[in-house]
Amino acid sequence: MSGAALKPSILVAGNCNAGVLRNALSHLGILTDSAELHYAPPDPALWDQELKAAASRCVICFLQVRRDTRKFEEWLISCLPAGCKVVRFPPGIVLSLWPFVMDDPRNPPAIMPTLAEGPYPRPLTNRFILDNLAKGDSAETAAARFLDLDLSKYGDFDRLHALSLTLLRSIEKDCDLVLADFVERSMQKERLFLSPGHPTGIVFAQIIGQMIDAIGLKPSGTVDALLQRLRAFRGVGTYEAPIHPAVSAHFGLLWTDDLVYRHFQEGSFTHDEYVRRFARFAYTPDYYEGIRLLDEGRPRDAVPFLRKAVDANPTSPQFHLSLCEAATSLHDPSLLATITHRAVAACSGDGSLWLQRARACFEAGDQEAALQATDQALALGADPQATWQLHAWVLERLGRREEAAAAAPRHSWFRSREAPLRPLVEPTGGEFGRSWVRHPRGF
Amino acid sequence: MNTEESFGRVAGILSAMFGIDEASVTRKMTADDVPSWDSITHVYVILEIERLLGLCLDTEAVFALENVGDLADLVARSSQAKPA
Repeated sequence: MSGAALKPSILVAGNCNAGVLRNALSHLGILTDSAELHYAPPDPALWDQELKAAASRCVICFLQVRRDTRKFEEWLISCLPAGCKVVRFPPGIVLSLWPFVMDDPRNPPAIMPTLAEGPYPRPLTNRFILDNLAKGDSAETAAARFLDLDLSKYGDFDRLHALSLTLLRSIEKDCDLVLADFVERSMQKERLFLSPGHPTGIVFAQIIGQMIDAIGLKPSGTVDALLQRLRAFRGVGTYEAPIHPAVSAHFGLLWTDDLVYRHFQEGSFTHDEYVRRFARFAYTPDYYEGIRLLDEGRPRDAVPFLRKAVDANPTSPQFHLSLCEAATSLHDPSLLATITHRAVAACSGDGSLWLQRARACFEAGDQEAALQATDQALALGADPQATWQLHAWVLERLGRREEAAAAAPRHSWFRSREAPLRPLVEPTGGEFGRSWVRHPRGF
Repeated sequence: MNTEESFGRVAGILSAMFGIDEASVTRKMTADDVPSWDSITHVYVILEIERLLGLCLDTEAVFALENVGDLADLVARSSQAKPA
């Protein structure tokens, strides 16, 4: 046995929100120097020996209180040593903006491993449309009926808002940290949630600020920087629930103009497009099969599926990006050139795809085209490290050595100035993390 | 509305919302007995009951219910208190 003492631990237990909070806290060196930070999923079956050992050394446990996980909370407390400080916090839940949430019977769970929640999990559903489909409406008719509906006469948004806040406050009665007042105060002017249970970084910053106080850390530049970065974090999950314009108008939301809503890797859609897609149960199974094969290290098998996915939905940058990844794995410059040419033609505003295009041109020996593509990639916010590096290489190949020498330090400058980003989302679930890492800007 | 009537209305709404057999709904049934019935869908259940029955239930009380019987009783009390 090693004589080295193990560090005490800090646990953050709960659903996906807790995973984000744990990862956010892990950015504070002052914490990680003296303690291990662990995310504890709300199911004992998911705990490994390392996590159980960490729980036995826990000095502070941040425990998410939910009405549906009381047994887990009791079990967790029994795993903690005497003297461990337990700080309870509420889940990020706001239902006020989504009046028609209910399970979709068309959406079987685990329809495929890479889309574990199914293409239309509960937060994306629309009970009004489902009811009309059940009565025999076509998808087009059901969607049109909903879009024509005078929602202000159909639903009592204030009542939903009151019930939603009361639910949160009823949970907060058992909590040390709170959220409801902040939500009530800020909802109109800032986007706090992407869907009913998926907060944006603004909400996470609010909770992390209280966690830092509970730990007893003093205000510092590092803490401020973390909170600032968190506030810019897009939020949990790879989908966003569309907000009906009547709901937005009712609450006077100041941030919904021109908003488009992400649907997994399918792309981002306006409210009306999203509604019509939901009614049709639209999604692209070939894509999810393709990335499953890609994850299994079978790019040759993945390419036909990803090609079909791109054909079906050519405006999804992520579809193109995955196809580019598969083609890159095959080391086929000709294929990559064809694929990236189509990708930037279809999604000309996506910097990541321009970077892929630049790589393809570089490999194919067309350095002028590669240079133009790196310029586009940089202008559109592609990964600066990778892009500046490639930019320097391209200039070198073109014999523009002085410019290459000037570009090269940009690569190292970015590397030294910006620490590699750690994902704010725990990369464990089918939905969370993976896509954020691959495509951090979203669509 | 008496408690028997309110139970019938509540059972019908739960059946429609959760896709369960109306006859399987009992007064002792709890949210734990219905896989989709969690704290989030509970809010929508309350909202739908209020919309369809034209009631406004006591906001605090709806989060302190133990079972469907309690919910039906709350609905009955609320309907009796409602001005004609």
